[in-house]
Amino acid sequence: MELTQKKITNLRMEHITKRFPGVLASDDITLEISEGQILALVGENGAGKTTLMNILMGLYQPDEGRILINGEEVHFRSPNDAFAAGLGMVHQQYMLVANMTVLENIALGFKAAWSPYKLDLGMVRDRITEIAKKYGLVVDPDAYIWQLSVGEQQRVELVKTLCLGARFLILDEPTSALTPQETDELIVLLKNMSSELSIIFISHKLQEVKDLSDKITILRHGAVVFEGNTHEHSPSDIAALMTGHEVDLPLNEEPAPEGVPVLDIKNLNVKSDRGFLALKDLNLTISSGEIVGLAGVSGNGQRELAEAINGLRKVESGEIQFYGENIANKSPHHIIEAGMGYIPEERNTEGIVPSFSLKENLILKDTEHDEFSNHAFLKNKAIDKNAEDLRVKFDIRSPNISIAAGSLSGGNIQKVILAREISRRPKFLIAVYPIRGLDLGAAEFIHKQLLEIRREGIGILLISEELDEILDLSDRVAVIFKGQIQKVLDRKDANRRSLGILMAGVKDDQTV
Amino acid sequence: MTKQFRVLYKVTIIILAILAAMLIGSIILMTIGADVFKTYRVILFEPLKTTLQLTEVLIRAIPLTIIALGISVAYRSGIINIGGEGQMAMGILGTTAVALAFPELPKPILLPMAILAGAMAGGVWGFIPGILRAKLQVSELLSTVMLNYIAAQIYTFMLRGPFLDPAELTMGSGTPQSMRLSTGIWLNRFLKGTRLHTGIFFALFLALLIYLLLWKTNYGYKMRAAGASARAARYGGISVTWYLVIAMVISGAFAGMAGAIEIAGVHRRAIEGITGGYGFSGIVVALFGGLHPAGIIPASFFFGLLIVGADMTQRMVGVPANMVNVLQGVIILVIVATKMILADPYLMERVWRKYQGIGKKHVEVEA
Ligand SMILES: Nc1ncnc2c1ncn2[C@@H]1O[C@H](COP(=O)(O)OP(=O)(O)OP(=O)(O)O)[C@@H](O)[C@H]1O
Ligand SMILES: [Mg+2]
Repeated sequence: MELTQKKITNLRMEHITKRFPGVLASDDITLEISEGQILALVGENGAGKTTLMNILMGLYQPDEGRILINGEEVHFRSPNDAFAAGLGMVHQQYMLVANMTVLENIALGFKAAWSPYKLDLGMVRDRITEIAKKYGLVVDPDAYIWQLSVGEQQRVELVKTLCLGARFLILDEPTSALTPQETDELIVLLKNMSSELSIIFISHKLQEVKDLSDKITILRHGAVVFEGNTHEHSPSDIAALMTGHEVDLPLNEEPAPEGVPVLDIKNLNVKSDRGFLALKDLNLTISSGEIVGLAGVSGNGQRELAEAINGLRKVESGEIQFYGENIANKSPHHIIEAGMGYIPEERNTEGIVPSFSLKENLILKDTEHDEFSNHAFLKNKAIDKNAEDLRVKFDIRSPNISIAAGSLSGGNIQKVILAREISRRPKFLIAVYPIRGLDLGAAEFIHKQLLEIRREGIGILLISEELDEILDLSDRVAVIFKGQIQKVLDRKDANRRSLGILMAGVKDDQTV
Repeated sequence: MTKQFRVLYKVTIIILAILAAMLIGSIILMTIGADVFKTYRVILFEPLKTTLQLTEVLIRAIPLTIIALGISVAYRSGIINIGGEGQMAMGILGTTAVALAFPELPKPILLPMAILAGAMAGGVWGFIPGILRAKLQVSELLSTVMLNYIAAQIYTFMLRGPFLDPAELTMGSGTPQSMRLSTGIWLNRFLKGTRLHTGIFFALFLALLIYLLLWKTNYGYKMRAAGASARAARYGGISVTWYLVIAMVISGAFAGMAGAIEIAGVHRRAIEGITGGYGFSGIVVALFGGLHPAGIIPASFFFGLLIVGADMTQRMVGVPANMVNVLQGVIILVIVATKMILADPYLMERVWRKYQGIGKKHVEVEA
């Protein structure tokens, strides 16, 4: 591999313009970053952040504009060209092969280890150790990707990029799927790395923008609307600049509802993909009109719980009473018809059919209902109207309703799922990381929506790693640890500290 | 981007693809020392010269269309049916059995019954790989191919045994075949002096049916969702495995009906070897037609043309008919490339802007 070992002292994108069918994704963008700087790229969902970075990496060709490194114009025809120039990107969706090991995944891109006859895995392993030592990034080279948590996969992506010799890092929403602890670790790590690397990172979480970046650039509708030094602005300033108005996440301040228990989980046992028991005799009861936040470090059974309730994972034993019916091991269809709504964790592969249009995705669960079909024939007018209405209401940024849902920006895909699940009027909602990847304005809107359907008497199980989100919205907070509910707290007893202790597995009666 | 441009763009790409395929084909023809232009002229235009030959092309296009429709249903639902050949053979047997068993029945009863029997026999042959895949994750590539072999043997056995024409024993034409079937299952030949039969309307009707099924009903929606993203479909409450089986049954039934129509319209008896690769060509036709009835109809006409043209080249230019298989192979490769190009919206967008640019310049010049 011929790597220019030269430093990147200055990188400049000039007058970049990129159009997609019906969208101006980048509108005459100019942006500059020097050695050792960290630039935060922020903006609403669909503002064009990912697109701009994909252009920088040679994944897309700009229609107009040029890229200069150290004052010289460069042309990247593919990401390989960008790697060779020392650029590396960690994408919004991780691009790892699930049934290969960490070592093999990294070797995939590590051209220096390839010869026509063999792949020098030893060399890749040495390189991983070297990088791990240098930056304090610990990964197990022999673990399979499917065995890793999202946070660990994130680290593998980072190690991979660094192993390939990146001296300029691009991170697209690196923290959106990380636990708070993992986020803090990553921020410290990036700060240390910035002495030798330049970094562009994209995030919707303004606190980390504030903590990490030197400079900040805000995009809106594909154009730069603001540039400045981070230390001169407070997070709320930045939020206002980004959305054009003050953002103020709503709080659940209403009295506890007097609902009746509608979801009653008794002694639930469920296995994980790896075959061990992920839920062990789990018990949890949720009433109508109540939001129960499920707090916990990811990997403690949250995913298995959500899937088991929705009929997507086998229940080994136990009961799930839903409005008086045991729905354990019923088909997903049956459970949906019983009134369950579900916002899944995996938005791109599970929550939407990427090749289907926006309007088709919005009726995924309702094709049989009279609203959208008449003797099996789809009612196109009703489907169009539904999509137009939801597009406006949920502010889904897309050129039209017939565009493939997979081509939307990450946050807008999330909005499609939220729009469908909330507008279906379920009797109960399982919401897993509902605002992951959403910009602040959208997060505010979704939280308001959740509170509103709560007021209508719908029970919500809110699964999240964001303690703020849980504390803002929940009537009660359940803490999950190793497949069991540690404790259920009332909102008034729950705070960051008490939850943190419980999440770490300490039952508070032991500490007393 | 205007709609006209979009259509124009797609048509241009398809024409370019055909030209590319022909170019590669000519290199192959040249290496065997054939007269390239004459060969192409014979393949492509000779069959269109007389009504008789044109109808022969249409006759080939009928079973191709029907099989390709079924294959597109399976493909869109996420299962690849390469068992069309066997399903068609079983369909012929089903039709023949009914026709032989009830020769006296009047046409309005016997014909639908016979076609239904063909559809059912083919459907069973599609159901087996479908259910194996749904319940046991057996690859349909394996099971459909194996079932082709089994069907071929059953077919031969039936034609040489139970269905064998008694006249064959005394006269002995050498090709095992059934007795001539009762006129009660004959499809009308409505154009004097040709073999073109009413099956063509049936094929068009089926094309409309599949279009409605896949794009206008919620069953079609669910099948396409299951095929496009099984995980999301499951999440959405769609029973992916159930629709997989249904799709395979439809696919098999269509191949079976293609067989039924072929004997009711053309041969009027079951003969060894009449499936003649339709099951495989049907896959190519389905893909070439973009897995959409509106594309499958012209695509099957084109392939019918190639088949008839191949016969004629052999007679008129001395190029072996096998060459058509070679051409088919080349075409499959070109389709794959073309599909990639057609699926690239960026390229279309770029061409559109160039095209607009040209438009603008014209305006400026005029002004
Ligand atoms: N491959 C594509 N085809 C068509 N349109 C696209 C494609 N990729 C992005 N777009 C459109 O370009 C615009 C910008 O998308 P982009 O993914 O860059 O947004 P983003 O700022 O990263 O948003 P998010 O915060 O939601 O990730 C969106 O309107 C999107 O629909
Ligand atoms: Mg993005």
